[in-house]
Amino acid sequence: MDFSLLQHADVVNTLSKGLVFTLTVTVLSMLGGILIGTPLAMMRLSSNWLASNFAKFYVDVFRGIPLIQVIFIFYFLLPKVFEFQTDTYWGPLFSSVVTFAIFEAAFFSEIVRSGIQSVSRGQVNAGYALGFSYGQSMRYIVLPQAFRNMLPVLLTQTIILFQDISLVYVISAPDFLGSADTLANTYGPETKATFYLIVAIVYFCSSFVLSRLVKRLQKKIAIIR
Amino acid sequence: MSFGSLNWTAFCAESNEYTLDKAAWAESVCKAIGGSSYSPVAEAPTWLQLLGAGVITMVWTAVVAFLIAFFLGSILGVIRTLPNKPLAFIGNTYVEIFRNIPLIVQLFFWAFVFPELLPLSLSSGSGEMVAGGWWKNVLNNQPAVIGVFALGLYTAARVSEHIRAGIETVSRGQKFAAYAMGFSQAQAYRYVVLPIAYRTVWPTITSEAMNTFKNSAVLYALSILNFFAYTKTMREETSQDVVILILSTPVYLVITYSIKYVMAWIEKRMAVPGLGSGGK
Repeated sequence: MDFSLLQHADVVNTLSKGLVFTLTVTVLSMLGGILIGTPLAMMRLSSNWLASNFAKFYVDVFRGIPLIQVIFIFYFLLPKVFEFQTDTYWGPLFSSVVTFAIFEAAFFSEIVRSGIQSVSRGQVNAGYALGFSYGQSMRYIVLPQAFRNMLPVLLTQTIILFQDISLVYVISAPDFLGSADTLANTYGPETKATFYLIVAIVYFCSSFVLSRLVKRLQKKIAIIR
Repeated sequence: MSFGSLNWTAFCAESNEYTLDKAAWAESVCKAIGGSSYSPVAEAPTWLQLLGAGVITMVWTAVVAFLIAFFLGSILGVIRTLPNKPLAFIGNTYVEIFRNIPLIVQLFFWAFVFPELLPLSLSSGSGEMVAGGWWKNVLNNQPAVIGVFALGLYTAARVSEHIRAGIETVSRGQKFAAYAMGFSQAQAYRYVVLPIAYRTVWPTITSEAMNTFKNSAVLYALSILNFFAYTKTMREETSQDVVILILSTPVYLVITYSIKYVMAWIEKRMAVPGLGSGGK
């Protein structure tokens, strides 16, 4: 193993570019996942048979398929719907964000659902008694508390998402692992071990630190509540 | 049997695996429905046969990996709850390491990084003494061994988290009662704590079993020829992406939910009347 490879400017450059790709996809698809997941959770809890069963079906389907299969599906189907190039930087970025947002929405919706259920029924009824509509009681009473209660779980899921993004390897996207792979191809097969070790170390350190921070946050929130 | 521009009989076309023997089941299925895509005198077996073999590979790699994960995860989960500090530390460190690195990176670690750390031994590929040569031989000849091992270690960390949580939910009074009856620590775990803990966390173990199956698709990255690897090759060779995706996705769904039913059946068989939420 030869860590002097890190002295090459283009190695550091490529790796950090890959890391930026991974982080961009993480943040954007987390936001997308919450945006799609929250209405899904509300549908799941609604008394409308169709809405609730649609949300259940959505979650069950995405929980039953391997993530790489989902990435694979979207990578080939999205270009048939939207016009974009799959071999540039933006093509895989767009494809990954859409894929992960739609996939993670299933998981986020389950988290949001348990968050909503953690707010006691009495509070919602109190809102209705004050003349709040369903939307108002959700907006002003349930969701603010629910999001606070589920924040640690949501962040933990985001750390998992950050790790899962490495699976875009299947579509050869320029993410962190993908950029290490590209470098290993440029510098020869004997550098594979070095590059993969660097990837493993960086992933470990960042996920470890982040999960520690989430744990600390969890304790803080628990005290306030 | 062409539907629009979709060629549904692509599965009966000749594949690119010339070294494999044709299987009778795939030949007879394709003879019945293959239409013009199927040729009985083709040199290679049909895609259908390869995909079938891929499903079998995926299932057995997942089962073996889950067994490894279940036993190793149980041991780790137990030692993390013991009063013995060094043992608990080992368990916690293991879990932190294996939970914070993505599966595919771990696969590459075991395949490409780990052998470099081993002493020199003979590599059958180059015929020279190289670092971790025997490990590289296994990787070249039987990648599934390394894949299953890596997937097992990865899942064990997750299983151990569940088992530990299960042990911690068993009320301390039960353990104390066992000690008061003169049970040793090992006996208290074996006869009192663990039977309750396993039953409590069985639903999460179930979803871990489903995850193991889903994750076993990732093993394709080590050139293990599983279902996912064959769908990917078939797409590259035939460009019939829509047909392939429509057919392969339900296969995953069916197997994942069958695992759920099997685990629910085990849960029912193990259920102790009056313990936990019972019928829920």
